[in-house]
Amino acid sequence: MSRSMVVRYALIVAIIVVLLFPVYWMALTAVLPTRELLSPSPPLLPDLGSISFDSFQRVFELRPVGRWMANSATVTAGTVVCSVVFATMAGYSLSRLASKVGLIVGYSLFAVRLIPTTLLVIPLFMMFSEVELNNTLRSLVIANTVVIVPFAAWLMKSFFDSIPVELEEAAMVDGCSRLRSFLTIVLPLARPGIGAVAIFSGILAWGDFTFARTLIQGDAGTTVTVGLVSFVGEYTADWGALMAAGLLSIAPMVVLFILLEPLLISGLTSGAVK
Amino acid sequence: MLDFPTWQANEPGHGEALRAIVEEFESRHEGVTVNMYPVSNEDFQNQIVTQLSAGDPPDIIASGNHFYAFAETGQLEPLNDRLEESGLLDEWEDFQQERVVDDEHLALTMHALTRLLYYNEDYLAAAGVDAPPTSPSELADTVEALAGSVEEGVSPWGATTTTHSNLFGEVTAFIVGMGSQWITDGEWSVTAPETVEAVELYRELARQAPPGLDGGGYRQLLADGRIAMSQDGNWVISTLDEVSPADVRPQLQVAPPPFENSVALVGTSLSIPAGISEERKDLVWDFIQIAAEPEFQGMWAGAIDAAPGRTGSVPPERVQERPELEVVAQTIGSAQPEFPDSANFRANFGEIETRIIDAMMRLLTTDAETVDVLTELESELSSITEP
Amino acid sequence: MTLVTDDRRRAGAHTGGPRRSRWRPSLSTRNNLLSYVLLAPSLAMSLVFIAFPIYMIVNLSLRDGKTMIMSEVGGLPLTLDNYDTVLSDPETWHSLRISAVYTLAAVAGAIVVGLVTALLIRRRLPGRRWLRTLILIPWPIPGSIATVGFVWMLDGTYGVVNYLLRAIGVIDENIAWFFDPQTALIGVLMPTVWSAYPLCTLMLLASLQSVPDELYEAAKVDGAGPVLQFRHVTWPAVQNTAVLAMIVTGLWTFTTFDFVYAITRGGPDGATQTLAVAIYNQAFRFFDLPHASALGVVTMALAGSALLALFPVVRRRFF
Repeated sequence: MSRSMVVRYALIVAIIVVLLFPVYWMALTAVLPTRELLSPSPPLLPDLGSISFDSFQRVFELRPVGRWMANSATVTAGTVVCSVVFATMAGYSLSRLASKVGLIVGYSLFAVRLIPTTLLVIPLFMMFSEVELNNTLRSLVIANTVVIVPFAAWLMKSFFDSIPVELEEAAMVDGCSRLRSFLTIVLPLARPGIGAVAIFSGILAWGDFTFARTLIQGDAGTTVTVGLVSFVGEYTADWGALMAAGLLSIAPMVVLFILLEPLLISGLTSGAVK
Repeated sequence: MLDFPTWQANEPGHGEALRAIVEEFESRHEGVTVNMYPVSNEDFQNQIVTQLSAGDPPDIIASGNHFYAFAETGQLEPLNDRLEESGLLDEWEDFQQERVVDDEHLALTMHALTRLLYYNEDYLAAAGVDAPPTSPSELADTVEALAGSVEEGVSPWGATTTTHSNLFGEVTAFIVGMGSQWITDGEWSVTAPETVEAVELYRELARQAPPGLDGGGYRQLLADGRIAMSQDGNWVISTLDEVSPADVRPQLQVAPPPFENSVALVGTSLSIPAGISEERKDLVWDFIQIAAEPEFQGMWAGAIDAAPGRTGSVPPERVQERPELEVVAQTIGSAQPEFPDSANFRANFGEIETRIIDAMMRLLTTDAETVDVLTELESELSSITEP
Repeated sequence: MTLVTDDRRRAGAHTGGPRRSRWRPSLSTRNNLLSYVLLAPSLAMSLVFIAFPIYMIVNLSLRDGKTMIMSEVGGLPLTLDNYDTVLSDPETWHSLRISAVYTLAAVAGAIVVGLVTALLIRRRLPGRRWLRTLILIPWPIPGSIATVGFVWMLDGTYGVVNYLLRAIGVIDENIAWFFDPQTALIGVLMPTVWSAYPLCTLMLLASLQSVPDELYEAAKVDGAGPVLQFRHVTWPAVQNTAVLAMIVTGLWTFTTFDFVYAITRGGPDGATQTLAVAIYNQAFRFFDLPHASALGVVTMALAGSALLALFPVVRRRFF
């Protein structure tokens, strides 16, 4: 290994240690008795003897973490499907077909990012209560899709931009309709892009906090993020249980991310210009 | 199904009592269930206000100091007729008046709370103090003695030292304790000598407290033996029973607050929202009535060491088996209300509380003169509302 | 995010790379129809769920009176007073300043960390897939949970960050991160940047990978050191992506609220009171929805003009 490689590895490892330290510290807090950490010089490496999983047990005893996860998973899955479908349609339209008007309309989709979410929730709450969608996971799917699609649509647009238009033209010369060539030629080529959009929207939906805490009332529909924050009790600060709950709630998404990350990267970097 | 959000669903003491009331209600109402669910206290106020404002409220509305915000939406049902019909008012303690706005009873108080002095007797003994302080000057001296004796990693004093509503309640207990109020005789008394002295003391003690913590934060440290002394609510006794490790709990003791006066505040009160059907309102009223029965009044107040709303609901046996209740009874008997007698103060509580907390944080984090900051606070408060 | 493809397209424009849509008279009617059919769901959704709330907020901001009851709003008289109050209130300008500092610092932090990490893992090296994944791990972690973790790490008495800083001799005394007005904003920025940088890494990495290694080789042959290589090869290749990453991160930070509110609630004494927190306080603590809405409209206008000012940059990329 060359010297520059060694330096590069050392740098990468150092930066990973710093960047992932918060996750490590959460894990350590979850498995050590809090009292051991309530010290001006907390142990950086755990004494293996004092590791226990009591905090995790406490979390499961105290709150329906399993149901929270199931709710988050439902909302995430619903949002991913809706976002991918809408964003693919809109992205193709913006890339291939849209007039200037369409593009400007598309750009203005970003308006959603301008509204302070604290203010957005009141009208949203009213609208959902009008159509009796309040307190349903569907309302969360809709709200999340609304804020994700503008971004996802532009992601898909630039992905479609990288697929040579000549491919469809050839197909259309052969008698395919625009729609058919979209479905049979462009869509399969766009798979990496669709994967990237799916991961992107999945992460945002799983992490949503603002909507989940306003639009859902009641334990039945609580998602992990809101559930976890309800752990920050008014009456005590049980750091061990809090961190254990935090780890549990990030675990599914982190694992999924680790598995799918190559797909994301190839979706973002490959393009179709080969 | 009746929706019943509460920030107390999982709180030691409260949770068990509430579940018992829910069970009793369900057993008496075939086919009606109560969906009680926890909401973090931080979110509780804005969630309920949003729902009340949008005209889609939950059915049973619980409130602590959130009450004033909820009342402000104008969406709480006056209970006057129902209270009169049931004769409950005759049985009720005076602090029910804290839930009356423009002659309308907008909630029924479940119990009153007070603030006590908590201390770790081992640390006090190590500092050479044999008895808990009984006056403000003794309190200051004790904390100073503790500062010289506690080991590293233990703080002599615990208090709210962050932007949090606990800060308002805690400093108000000092002010009331030392004989003043935010408003006295219809005038802002933010710069009255007693107020200044009380705020000074809070400020001086807070220097010995871990920085940046709210009530839950320093309470946990007390439970874990990392704080020698603090002022906290009487409901915390049962919390300590639950969370304090077996080797620390016996050292934790309570004493009446070391002030001339103690403070009384309404713990939980229950309301009916105006925006639900008449049929539901009747069901919620049934629920409130069950919570008002002597048995459940005694159970709830007993579980959190509070004074029940219905006079005399805590059985004497309970007081005997729990010495802390004696301290609570002694304290609450002579307590002054936490809120000044001013309708404007209540109606603008959200903004007033925010200004007071900001001023307190300025005192805790800077070297500014106490009088100067309080003078500025008084002029800010005056511009919000007439006293 | 996607900019790679665009960077590449620009670079390869002369080779006849793919082109965006063209006006095709023969097909235009059908294409337009299809184009709108495909856009329709997204548009309809935006109209219903964005346009209506904006209408509500603007409507509210023009009402005289302090109310939280939506159904009563229509009956209140119209006025411009709320804007007068908001614009003449020194707190508005204070919050704007805090928002600006918070946003700029978060963007700068995220882009620097993003660029450094992207440069480090740009080149092929054994195990890169795992190193890259590890670097991106904070991305799937919800901000609300990251916040809780940082509050614990930055605790003024037992926080491990203080311990580490003391151990390596940077500080002598513990810093009460969220208590001290001097450091509160820095404390809040840490979880913000931590949550924001992975997206920057991803976007920059994507566009860096489109730079052929030969360019670096050529630069080396010409005797360029790392700094010159960065200036003449790396930066030109990624600058567009970097600008877009900054816009995305900036918009996100400007309107975000969870980090600040969950940690400091705008305190101590307003030291972290961003516009988003000020709006929340007006609406949910002071129950003055018209005032909150007026402040919200001002915020939208500011964010909107920033976005418009950046429109040319974005248009270069997309139009």
